[in-house]
Amino acid sequence: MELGIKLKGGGQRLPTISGFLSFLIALISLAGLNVALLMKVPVFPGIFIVQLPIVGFFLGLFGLIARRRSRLYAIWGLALCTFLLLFTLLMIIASLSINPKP
Amino acid sequence: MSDKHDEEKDYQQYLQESLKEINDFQPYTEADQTGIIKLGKQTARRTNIMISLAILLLVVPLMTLASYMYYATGDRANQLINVAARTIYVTEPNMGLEELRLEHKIGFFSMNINFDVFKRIGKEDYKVGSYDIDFMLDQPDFPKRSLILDRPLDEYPSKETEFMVHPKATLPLSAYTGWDMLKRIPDGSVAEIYVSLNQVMKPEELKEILPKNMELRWLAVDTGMDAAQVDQEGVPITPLGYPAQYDPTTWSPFKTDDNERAFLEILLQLKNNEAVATKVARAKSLALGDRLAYIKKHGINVYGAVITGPTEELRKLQNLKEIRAVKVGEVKLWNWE
Repeated sequence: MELGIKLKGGGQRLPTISGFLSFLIALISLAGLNVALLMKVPVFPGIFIVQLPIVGFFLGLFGLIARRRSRLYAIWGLALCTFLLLFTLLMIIASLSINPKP
Repeated sequence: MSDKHDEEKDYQQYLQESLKEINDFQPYTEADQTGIIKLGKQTARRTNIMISLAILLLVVPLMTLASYMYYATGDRANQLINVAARTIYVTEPNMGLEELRLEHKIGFFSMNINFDVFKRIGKEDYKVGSYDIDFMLDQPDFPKRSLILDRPLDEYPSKETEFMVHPKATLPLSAYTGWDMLKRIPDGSVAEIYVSLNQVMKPEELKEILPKNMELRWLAVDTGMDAAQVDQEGVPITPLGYPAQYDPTTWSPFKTDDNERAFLEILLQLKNNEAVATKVARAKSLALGDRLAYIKKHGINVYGAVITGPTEELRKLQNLKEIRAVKVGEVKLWNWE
């Protein structure tokens, strides 16, 4: 009976597609950032710390406003993309203030 | 009584409607139920994997960010770099660096700095090596020095190995051969020599007595401990001093007309960061508190100096009664014009 009742709104609590994409993009960006950090590349690849997180951020926002579906992935995607953008900003500020050169 | 009857009727009606509604539902078949469970399992597995992956991938960026923030806040990294660079100016005779070319790398809660050091010999600055210093948080490791000098100062200073000695200190045996060595260096070369004076004197007095065709590079200042050449605990010390000339290098602390004031400011800065300065310097004790207090009380008096110029001109210094001994440093081909 319980399952029967659920039939009416079948799949309602599945995560949103945009939330899932946001989370996935955040994971790809994080992986790229990890590679860049561990390989000590002199210039971070912008796509992983700016472009992709911006796309992921808006997808996450979109996923967050969806109703009657799980927002879990959207929240994770949004949080990770925000972290990546914040990371970029703070790293720029910190790098400019350490041993500054004209 | 009638109200109760109505209530009962409504209830029965609601019950019938609900039962009818439930009967209208199409219950899942077994295959559907298996599908739902499978879907649930897949979603749970995917969520677990993605969240675990996210947490793992956050470790390196978080640690990197924390390290950068540690060194950036409170100007910590710049202060460490400054102290290391300025220690070279005041503890290594006639040695300078280009702070603009100083490289740094931030690791996980660690920092590495490396820079080249230069000596003026004759009219040219020669790269004489490099320093590589690792910091774990704000604690430096002993620097890795790669000096390409013919006659470097000893890595572990002692009374016998120092090039400049106080008038009241005993001359090391090697100091007696300095003039002879200078005589044997061919003309047409330029040299760097370390002179020890017979008495302490004001920097201006020393500048006045020197012949014209040579350049005074660095002055060793009397700090009250130089006669004994050890600190109060018996640990060997090395001379403290400062460049005698205006330094045009960008961001040099001696890019000023008043090198004495710059020297005192550096000593004060090093005193506040003595642990870092001591690690960077050759001597394992700088005793900056006592030495700075002595200089403030007695003023800046010098007992030794580094001079560079044409070798034949430097030989003339032997005629000056104020000079007690000389030690030859680096020699280069003619560049005095």
